[in-house]
Amino acid sequence: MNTILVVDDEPQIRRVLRSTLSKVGYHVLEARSGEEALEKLHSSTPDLILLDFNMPRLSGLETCRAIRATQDTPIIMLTVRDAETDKVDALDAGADDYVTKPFGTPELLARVRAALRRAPMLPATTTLIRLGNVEIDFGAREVVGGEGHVRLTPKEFDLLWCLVAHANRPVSHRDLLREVWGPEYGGELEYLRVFVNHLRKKIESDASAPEFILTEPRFGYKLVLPGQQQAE
Amino acid sequence: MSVAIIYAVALVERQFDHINPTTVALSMMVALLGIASQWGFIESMAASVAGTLCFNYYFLPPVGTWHIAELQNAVSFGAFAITAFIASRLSANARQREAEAITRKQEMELLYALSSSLMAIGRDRPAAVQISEHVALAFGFEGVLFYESDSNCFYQTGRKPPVTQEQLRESVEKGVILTGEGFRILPLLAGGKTVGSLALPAGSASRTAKQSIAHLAAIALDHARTQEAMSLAAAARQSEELKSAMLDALAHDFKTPLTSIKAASTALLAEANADDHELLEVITEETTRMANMVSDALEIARVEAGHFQPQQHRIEVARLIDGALERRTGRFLGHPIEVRIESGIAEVSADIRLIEMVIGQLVDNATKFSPPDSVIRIVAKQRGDFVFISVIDSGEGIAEEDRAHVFERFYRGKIARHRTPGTGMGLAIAKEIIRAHGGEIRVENSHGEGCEFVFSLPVYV
Repeated sequence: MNTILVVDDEPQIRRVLRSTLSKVGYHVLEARSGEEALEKLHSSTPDLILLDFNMPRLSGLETCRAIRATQDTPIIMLTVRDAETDKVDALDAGADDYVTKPFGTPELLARVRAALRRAPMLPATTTLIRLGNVEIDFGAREVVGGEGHVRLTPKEFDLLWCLVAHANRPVSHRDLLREVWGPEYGGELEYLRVFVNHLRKKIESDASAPEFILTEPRFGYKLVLPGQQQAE
Repeated sequence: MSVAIIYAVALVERQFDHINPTTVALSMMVALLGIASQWGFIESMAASVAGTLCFNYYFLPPVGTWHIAELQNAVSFGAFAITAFIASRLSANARQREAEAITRKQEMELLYALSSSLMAIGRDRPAAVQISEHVALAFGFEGVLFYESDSNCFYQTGRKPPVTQEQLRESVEKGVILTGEGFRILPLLAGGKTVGSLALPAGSASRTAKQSIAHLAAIALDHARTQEAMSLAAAARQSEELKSAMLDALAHDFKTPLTSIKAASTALLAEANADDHELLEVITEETTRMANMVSDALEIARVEAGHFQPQQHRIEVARLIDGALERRTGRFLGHPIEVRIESGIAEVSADIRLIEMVIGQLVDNATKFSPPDSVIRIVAKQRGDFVFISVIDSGEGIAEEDRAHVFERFYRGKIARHRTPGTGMGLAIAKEIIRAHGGEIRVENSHGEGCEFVFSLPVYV
């Protein structure tokens, strides 16, 4: 049974979420503030965090950054703001997904399933690949760079895997979103912009002049795998 | 006095027996230099005449008479006169320069004091009034007249200088200094532009000082205007930020309970029986509608404030229209909506939410002014680099006199004023949004045939 930590200062929203999530079989933990959420994370390891954007004192963004500093647990941000800049802020802070309030329960459950979903692993033969100074072990979900261990969130890992699986071929925005986030996705280009940016910062030696993860204008992205025409 | 001194010198020297006439002449010359440097030209000339006479009478043979050789007399007079003239001119020049230096120093001090006081002028009264007062006070002018060309206003302090308003304007237009009896008008130049002119009374200060006063006044006026513009901009920004923060907070407060309601109703909807399904659907739809209204109100406030930048994305026209109709589910009951999109139409560049609002607004308007059950048509076609989207109703149309004004803020047509609810803001907002996209919005068709609102959006390149 997956455990979900619900962080929201509004008791009614926590009530509804606890009821709906429990009903479909998730174990629900609750926190009334960002501070309480960080404390809860010392003693428990949820599989997913639903995090409110607007909270007094420690805001959703700050909480998200604080969690990301130590953990890779998937985070879905819940917010009344729906401007693109707000979405980018949330994703930049480390959220994996973003749901606008008011949301319908089926929509939220779909997002929860997508966040918990793991992309299937690469075959064992191509588990280990090297991009410049960075070595990626997909089997162990580990990335080692010149300066030691590099942390990737699960979604970042999945996105990288998806690009590697189609190495040296351009992959469309829609395909990337559907494979990494789930079949309901396809138009959320800002997700890709932010996550590709994260990946480039972690993998490329110069994120502003990428060598491996290339943009295919108006189509998608392509990963260039040195010494290999196409990944099997 | 000068004559007495020379006479005294002559008498003293007469006391010495066998005194050399050259010694006498030299000592008289020294006395003459003293007189010239002390009193000036006229006194020293009188002294030189007296010196010539004394020298002749007492020291040149035959002593005690005025008779001597003509040449000797003329030479001594000439030497005394030339000495007196040169010495007096030199000393007069030196004195004049000293006086000028003192005046300049005093004027510099006054100008410095003036510049300090001008930098500290407040915003409680017009800057020009305060500048005039400071100028008059610093230099003790009886009166000053200030002309500010931007506002075309005249500001007088103390007694009015003998000038006309036309002269002040002329000084600004031609950028020249005008001088007349009892006054001097100086143009005020700031940043290469003449911002006004200043009439000062004659006398009291040097020309250079008056020129400097004009420079300082121009700088002070320019500074005051800049300060005013900056503080207005800062106040407007603060007010916008406050408004935006308040609206954000309000949106959050409204949407929070709507979130609980919608999450609960949709959870129930998933497993409801047919009877409950209909009711739960109404709750869900109305919750969504209310949340959209809150979002729209927030957007409208931003557009109204004029501080919005449409975030344009590539989008299909069909999706825009569907999105707009979906947002307003339930509002068009009784009015079938017919959508016709030209085949092969290009995608447009649009801020999806804002354009959905515009379409929604136009359809809302159409429903308000159309007979029940009448069809509302939405037509989209491409012409060149623009896609034109029309919303056509079958109401009474818009009266000729109203058509030119429908996009003005708070304008409500004759029919609308009495029969339909609204603030008169919807179309004004729609116009702002379309204009920000680089398109146009207009109303077509004439009275009695229904009306067609049509707007254009740029094709996505």
